[in-house]
Amino acid sequence: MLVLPPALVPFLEGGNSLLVGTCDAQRMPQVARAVGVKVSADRDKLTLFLPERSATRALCALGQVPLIAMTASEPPTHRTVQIKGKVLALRHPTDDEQAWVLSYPDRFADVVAYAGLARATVKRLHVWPARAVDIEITHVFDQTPGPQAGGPLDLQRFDVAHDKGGRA
Amino acid sequence: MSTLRLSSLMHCFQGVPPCNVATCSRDGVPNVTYLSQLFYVDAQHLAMSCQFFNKTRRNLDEHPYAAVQVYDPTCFEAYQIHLKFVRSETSGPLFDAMALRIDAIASHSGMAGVFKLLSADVCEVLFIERLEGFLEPNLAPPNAVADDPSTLRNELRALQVIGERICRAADLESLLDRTLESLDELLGVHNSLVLLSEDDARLVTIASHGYGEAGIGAEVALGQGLIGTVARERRSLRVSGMREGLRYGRAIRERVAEQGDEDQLRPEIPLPGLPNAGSQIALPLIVQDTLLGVLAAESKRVLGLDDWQEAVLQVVATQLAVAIDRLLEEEDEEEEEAEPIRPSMLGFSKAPPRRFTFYRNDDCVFVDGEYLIRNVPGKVLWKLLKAYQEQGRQEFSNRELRLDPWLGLPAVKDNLESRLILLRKRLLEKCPDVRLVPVRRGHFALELDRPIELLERDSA
Repeated sequence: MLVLPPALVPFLEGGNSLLVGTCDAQRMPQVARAVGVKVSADRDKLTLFLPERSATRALCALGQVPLIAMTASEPPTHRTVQIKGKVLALRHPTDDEQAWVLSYPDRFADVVAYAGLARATVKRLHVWPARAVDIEITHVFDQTPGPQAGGPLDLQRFDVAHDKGGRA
Repeated sequence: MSTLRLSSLMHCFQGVPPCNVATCSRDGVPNVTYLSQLFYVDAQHLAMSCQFFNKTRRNLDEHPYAAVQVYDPTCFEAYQIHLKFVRSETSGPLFDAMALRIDAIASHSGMAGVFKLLSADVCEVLFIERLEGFLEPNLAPPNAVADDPSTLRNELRALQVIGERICRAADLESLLDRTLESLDELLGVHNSLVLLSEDDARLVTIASHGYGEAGIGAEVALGQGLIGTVARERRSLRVSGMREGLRYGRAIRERVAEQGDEDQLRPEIPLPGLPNAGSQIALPLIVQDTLLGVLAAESKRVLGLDDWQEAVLQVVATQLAVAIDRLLEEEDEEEEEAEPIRPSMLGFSKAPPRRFTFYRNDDCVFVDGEYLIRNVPGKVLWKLLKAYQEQGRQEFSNRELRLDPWLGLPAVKDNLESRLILLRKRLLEKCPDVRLVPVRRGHFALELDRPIELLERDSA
């Protein structure tokens, strides 16, 4: 069982850019944007949220092949992690989760403001209705650009780097 | 194929926001990551950049299908493009075009040779879909303005006017200054530079617009940054999202440093021009096989330099190169006989003398302890100041400079006029009371409002 380090929780649950990769029964890949993540209390599972309208194909693929890849990236620094896992459940979000999902565009707009994207435009990101995807974490990779990208994440180093001010 | 045309998504391939790609392995495990560059090849093909042999590339070798999601930076609409991997190219025009951008970013972030293109992975477009519902409604459709025919007519009219001004320019200085002013006035390009080749290894900034006088004399080595890379490769390059590209390069740089490979890294070169440039373009000025210099422009906006501006600037660069070449040729041919010297009748002000110091080891001139100019223009200035101080001369000819072996000008294509322009502008910026004033073709006067003191030293 893989347990995420505490420092990864705010990184995943903040407004960072969230991408999801899936593949269907014909092994055709699909890509979608997730609109929020919640890490479980014991940090070995997470729930991510996919908007029903723009992630239709990815959600359909997850119904066929319960494997998922999720990338979380901090755009100003490109610090990126990729998490892979098995889908435990595909379900409707709870009321608390709905509120969490609806708050994502605000957090995301804060993160990408540096790039000059208009806040009003980013806040038009469609997030609801969404589906909740419960995932058991099987792998965590360092996806920050560079020769080491795709290698195992040094979880201890991520903790230290994060404490120093958010730059790995 | 979808009814959506790939060419209608050109905005989406500029890397702002970055594209992303999903693939899956032979056994069906998905992978998703960002792409540093997605390049439009033709109406049916895109190419992905491969800088490191990563999981995406391994997956494509195992199972040649990918889905990329791209965004229109003007409105944030999203599109998913389904691809089939066709081939990898490691040389040729496509590879060179993609490598140029990466080389420029790498050079700027001190990563030349470390962060480089390994291959251009060409993919066939299977179908394109607009992600309906990605944004809440009420957004304007992308590219609505670009196809407006009246806009295109305005651009043609602007090109016509700029072309006329280039053709009418009587000397190199007015050619360069008027052209850059016209780019601002008629095309909305507010910040631009012209650099001319100083020798086989360097370019020097001889005209600028939108930066004050501060950039004049700034040098760029061939291969250094965007401008130097364009000069070395002799290919134009437009980089939108330069800040994003540099962040990407710096992320890699930090990782290389963390891995203990600092000796691969070179000092980071400060980006010349706007400190917060969002987009930049550099175009080589070439006549036949000779690189005369580079025309560069930038904008604070990420998409401030668009496809149409690149096309228009390319036409301007071609005309400008021919005009520069013509004026340099004329300069060689036309020099009128000197008339009697007419010293300036203006008296000196009561200000203290300007102190000029010449350092022999690098032909460098300082004024009042501050760097002024070096190399050939530095030696020219020193020759003029000494002639004034020792003989009282104030009028000089280009011909006598060309004949002076101490200056070391080449027998042909000596760029003397461009060097005099540079000297004039540096004097104007650093000590405006000492001026070089053209009096007629091939002749100029040294005008002084203050006395001067001259000092020679072997080195600083």
